[in-house]
Amino acid sequence: MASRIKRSTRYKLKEASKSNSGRFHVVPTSKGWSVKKEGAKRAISTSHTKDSAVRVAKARSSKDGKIVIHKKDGTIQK
Amino acid sequence: MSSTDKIFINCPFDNTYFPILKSILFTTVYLGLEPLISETSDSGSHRLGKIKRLIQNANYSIHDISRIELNDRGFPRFNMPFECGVDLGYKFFTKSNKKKILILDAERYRYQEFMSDIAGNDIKAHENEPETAVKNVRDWIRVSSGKKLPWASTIWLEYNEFTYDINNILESENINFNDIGALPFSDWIQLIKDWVEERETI
Repeated sequence: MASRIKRSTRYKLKEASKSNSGRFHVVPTSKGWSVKKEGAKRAISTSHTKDSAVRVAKARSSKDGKIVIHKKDGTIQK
Repeated sequence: MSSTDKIFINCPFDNTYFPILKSILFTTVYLGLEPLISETSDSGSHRLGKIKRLIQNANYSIHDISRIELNDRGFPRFNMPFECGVDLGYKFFTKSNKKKILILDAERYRYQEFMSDIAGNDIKAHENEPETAVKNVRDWIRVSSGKKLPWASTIWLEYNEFTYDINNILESENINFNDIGALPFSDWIQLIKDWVEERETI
């Protein structure tokens, strides 16, 4: 089947992969809610509740730092 | 694992299952394997002939037999268990030591009620949770390959960051990341490879 992705899409994704924008990701795990700095391999903390993890992420992020909250199915909370 | 190790993935192809499939595809690429899915092979040839080639070309196989519900006309999908049987037959009759097969279901021990002959193989339950599927696949590849691999928790966190990046980029191009039919499988796999290959962690 022919590819439907543009070269520019692949380029943007490669650039995003390398980025270290200062974003923090709040991710549900089997142990609770982990907070991960973008680009880091390990979580900086894991909390029992999502609210607690979001508080940690807000405290660690810079003033304009974005927080991304993930769902269990791998999608993003809007 | 060698750099050319391929993994045949035989699973349901629908949007309900897609979150699990994406997490499995990401895990296999992240661990250096080349996923093979029937749609990624050349078209125009006989379906079973394609399956045979995929099985022959892959040292690793994952068969998800979790889709046992009956459809609107009262029939289950037999393709996944059938292809699993063909692969187990290939391993059995060729006495291949290289061939490693993981069978996934949604619930632990449920297979005993509908496919008990597969007992004794590597059978894991993903509980319809992508994170559990990541752990099932990672732990099985770890044992099968004997290689030191990243922890499942690391892969799960990386997968979530990948989903954020790809969601943003595809959304801006009106491509739905949650629609299994939005792109051919070869594209989904290529996008995962692009992200993983360029990854720079801190």
